[in-house]
Amino acid sequence: MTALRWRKLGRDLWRSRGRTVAMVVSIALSVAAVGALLTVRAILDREVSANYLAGRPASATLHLAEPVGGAGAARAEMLALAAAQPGVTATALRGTVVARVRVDGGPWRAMVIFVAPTDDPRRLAAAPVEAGSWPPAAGQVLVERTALPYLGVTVGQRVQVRVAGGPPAQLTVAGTVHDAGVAPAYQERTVYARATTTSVAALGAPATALDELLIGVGAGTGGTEADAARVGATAQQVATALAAAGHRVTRVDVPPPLRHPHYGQMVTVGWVMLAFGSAALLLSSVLVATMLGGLVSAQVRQIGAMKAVGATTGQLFALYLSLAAVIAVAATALAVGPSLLLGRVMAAQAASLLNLDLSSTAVPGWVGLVTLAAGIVVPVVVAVPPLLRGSRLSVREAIDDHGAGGDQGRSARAVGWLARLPGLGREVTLGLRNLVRRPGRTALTVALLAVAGALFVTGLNAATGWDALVGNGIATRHYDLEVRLAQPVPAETLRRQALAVPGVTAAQAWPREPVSVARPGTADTTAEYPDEAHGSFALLAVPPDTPLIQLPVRSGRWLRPDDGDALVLTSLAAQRQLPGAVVGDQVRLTVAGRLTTWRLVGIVADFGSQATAYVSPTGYATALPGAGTTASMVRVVTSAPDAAGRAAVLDRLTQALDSDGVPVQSVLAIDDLRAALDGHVFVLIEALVAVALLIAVVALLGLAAIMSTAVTERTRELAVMQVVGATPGALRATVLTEGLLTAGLALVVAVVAAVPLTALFGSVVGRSAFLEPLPFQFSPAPVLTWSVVSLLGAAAATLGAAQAAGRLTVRQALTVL
Amino acid sequence: MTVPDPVIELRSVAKAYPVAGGSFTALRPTDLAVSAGEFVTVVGRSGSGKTTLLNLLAGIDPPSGGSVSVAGRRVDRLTGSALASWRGRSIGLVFQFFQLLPTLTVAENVMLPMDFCGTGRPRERRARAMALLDRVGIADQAAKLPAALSGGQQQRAAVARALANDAPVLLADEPTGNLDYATSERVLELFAGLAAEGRTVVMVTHERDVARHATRRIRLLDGAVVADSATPAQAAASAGSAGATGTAAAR
Repeated sequence: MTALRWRKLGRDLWRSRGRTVAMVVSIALSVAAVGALLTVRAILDREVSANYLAGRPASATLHLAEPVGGAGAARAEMLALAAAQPGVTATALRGTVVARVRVDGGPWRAMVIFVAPTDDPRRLAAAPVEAGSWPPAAGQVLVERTALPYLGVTVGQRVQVRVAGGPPAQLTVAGTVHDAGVAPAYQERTVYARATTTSVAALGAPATALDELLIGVGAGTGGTEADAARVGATAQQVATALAAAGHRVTRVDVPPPLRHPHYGQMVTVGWVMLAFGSAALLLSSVLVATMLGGLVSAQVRQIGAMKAVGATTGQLFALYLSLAAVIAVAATALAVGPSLLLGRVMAAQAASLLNLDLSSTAVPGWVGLVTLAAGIVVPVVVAVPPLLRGSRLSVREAIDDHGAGGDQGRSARAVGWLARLPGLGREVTLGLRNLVRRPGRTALTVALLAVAGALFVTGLNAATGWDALVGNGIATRHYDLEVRLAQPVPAETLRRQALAVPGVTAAQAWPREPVSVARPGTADTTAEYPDEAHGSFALLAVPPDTPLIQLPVRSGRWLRPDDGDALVLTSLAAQRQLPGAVVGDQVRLTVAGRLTTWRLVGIVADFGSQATAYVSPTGYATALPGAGTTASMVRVVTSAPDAAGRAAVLDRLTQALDSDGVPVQSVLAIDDLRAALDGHVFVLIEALVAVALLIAVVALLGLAAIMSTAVTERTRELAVMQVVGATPGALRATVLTEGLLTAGLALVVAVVAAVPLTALFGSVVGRSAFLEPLPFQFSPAPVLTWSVVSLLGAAAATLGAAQAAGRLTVRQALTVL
Repeated sequence: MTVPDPVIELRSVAKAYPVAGGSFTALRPTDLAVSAGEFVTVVGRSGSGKTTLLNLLAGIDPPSGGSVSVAGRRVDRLTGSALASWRGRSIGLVFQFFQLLPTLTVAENVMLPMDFCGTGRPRERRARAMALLDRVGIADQAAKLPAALSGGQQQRAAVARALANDAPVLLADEPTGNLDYATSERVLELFAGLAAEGRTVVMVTHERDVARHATRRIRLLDGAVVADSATPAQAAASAGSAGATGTAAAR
């Protein structure tokens, strides 16, 4: 490329600066999006891991059949025994207590207290203290920092805490910890707290039982072991050693090593946004290639002139490819800074949502390289075909071009057919003819806008689908309140106690037990997280005809009244606890310390619950003789019309059960469950809406530039129209109509394409994040929104070109090369 | 006395275009030879094959049959980059609508052929462009964009561009079609001057009164050469030189 050709290139860009700006901005926007998303991924991948590890999470938790109490010697002996096993790098003896908390007589909220001995050295599972100090004094707890706004309390304030079977106690919030291993309080609707056996002695014995042995397992190469199988094997060795020393281990929890509980959803969000961002980049690249192709078409006569004076195809291709490269480089240069800034802002927001601290927002070098490559290489590569086509024009073809262009074969017949359509009006007829005249260009423009529209509608439909998934999960529950007990009580008594509460119209009391998959010869292993929620597995004995839950059957069937050993699993249980299980399989579970055998008869969807196995009361009574008439959970229907009313009934119910000495462990209103589920998905929804908007902007910028190109190509034709009497207003109307017709055609294609795309996207993303496809939602709102956006946007985008057409003078037009 | 080889030689050259239902013969098998220093006008009605003939000479169209030799090369055997390169160095093309690049100045337009063909050193190209513009009488317009020039000035700039690589052959397609009489005359005088220097000029034109500038007139009708004769000016010039020769011989 010589200096002269660079000058031509620069002046050509300046001459069509409006179009140039549109091309640069559309690529810059999508490059910025891609760069920002890569930045977020890079920062969060590093910081999530760093935050999680800052809490020195345990690799495994061994649940002891008997708590270790008494003198410190017993604890020390157990810890030493565990530490002596190969691979164990740290040990700690702890307890976890499920409790309730409330402030100033307000509603009870769920609480999980992680209890440690007062002299615990905090080498394992020790969330960093942010306010206050460790260990807290008697009557004090440290809460996870997100609990403060959730409860509406400050450090120093007193709260009422109660554990099942223990007296209510006033505890002081003495400080906060940052526990990155648990979800924020508002998402799980649970307060996580840290205490010592001394500081929560007032809660009674259940709160001070140390029945969990935590171990850290090291990797052979140093650091923490990341292989769950190896961690599990080490934990089993420890369990065996403890059993030999007289300490029976009932269960081993091995959560996914080094993974935040919401890791799966974060990965899904990340991939979704990156996929849409990449789609936006590809879209803008194809749009730019189309615009460049149009620019080359507008320079057909110049190409002819240059070839006539000796330019080769290669020289011209290099010239126009340099044009594409200049645009791509300019756009990327424009985007890099904002993408890093935007990425850091987004990372900070995500960190806030995930309760993370960003120790550094440094971006790895590969992010910049990938962003640069994407911003420069993708548009240039996509631009090659149209630029090559233009460069290959022969002198003859170029000189013979009269600016109108178009395939004179099929399009001529189509134009003839259109000319016979009655009542269309001059502008619509001309607009349609212009679209048909260059079928390839029209098809590409319509396709690009349609892709943008389909992605936009799909994104919003998916957002609605997320919401519907939550709604469906709630809709399967026909109860308002749930109370769980720490120990089973007579079921009928519990039911009547609940029915006696004003506002309660129906109640059912069911047995509920934590379960684990039995593996003979070893301690049962689960993937449960220390928060007692993620990864947990429970068994519920429910009447097959209960009206309180109606779960969609995914395979097999629901329970029947005559079922004995029939077992129905939720999708989550089937995939996470018993991967590969199919209807008909035999399933062995440890329930309340007993080995039980079941026959899998069905798999149901149960979004919003922990992994659950459902059995009939008959089957439960058979498997656990003597336990069939007990219950550890009651679900209640109320007459309350709203959340406040339901909360009031829950409060009365809890008080009544407390007064009767029922060991209430936790309480939950359906409204709180809804809020928790919403908290899990709203990030996804917002992300989808944001990328949908990005795609809309890129598409409209592209349309503006394409229409501008189309007007430039037809300059002489428009001038001739003026000569034969067309007013500037008529020219503007013609151009505007063409833009609207293009957008209208694209709208139809977009809506049709969005149907399968929504279904596919919902299936892939839903299964990835929550193991359930998103309910297919094709609501009118996204279609209406895109219709308005695309048509109004097309009008606005075309306005510039339309104004230019109206301003042309005949003289200007006829002297244009 | 040896007769120099013609600069342009067509042997049984024909051109037909495919159309619906068959083909259309734009040029019937034609033989033509043009020597250096000739200023040839090709005249005829619309559709007679004038532009087709010019396009064959410039390598813009390949012949359907026969051979085309221009400036020592078989043009019908050249394709792609070789054809472009040959055209840039051997042919100067002048179009009816000038075909100047709108975003380059007049001087830059003249430099363009040198740039594409890599002729001369880059530093010398501007000086050569200025010299050519001075020759055609518009050196003072060098820094302007084509849109700021009159039609005549633009056509003279196009002629300067056609001379940029010192091409031995100039092909002009209706170069005076958009010009007034006075401007046309100046352009035709320019062509005549170039021919007198020894270049070969072939010009397609509708206009009948260019004969006094040209040395030879070829008339086409329905794709065939129906007349090929020296113009009155050439005939007078030849007679004058023959008389002088005879006088000299007599002496």
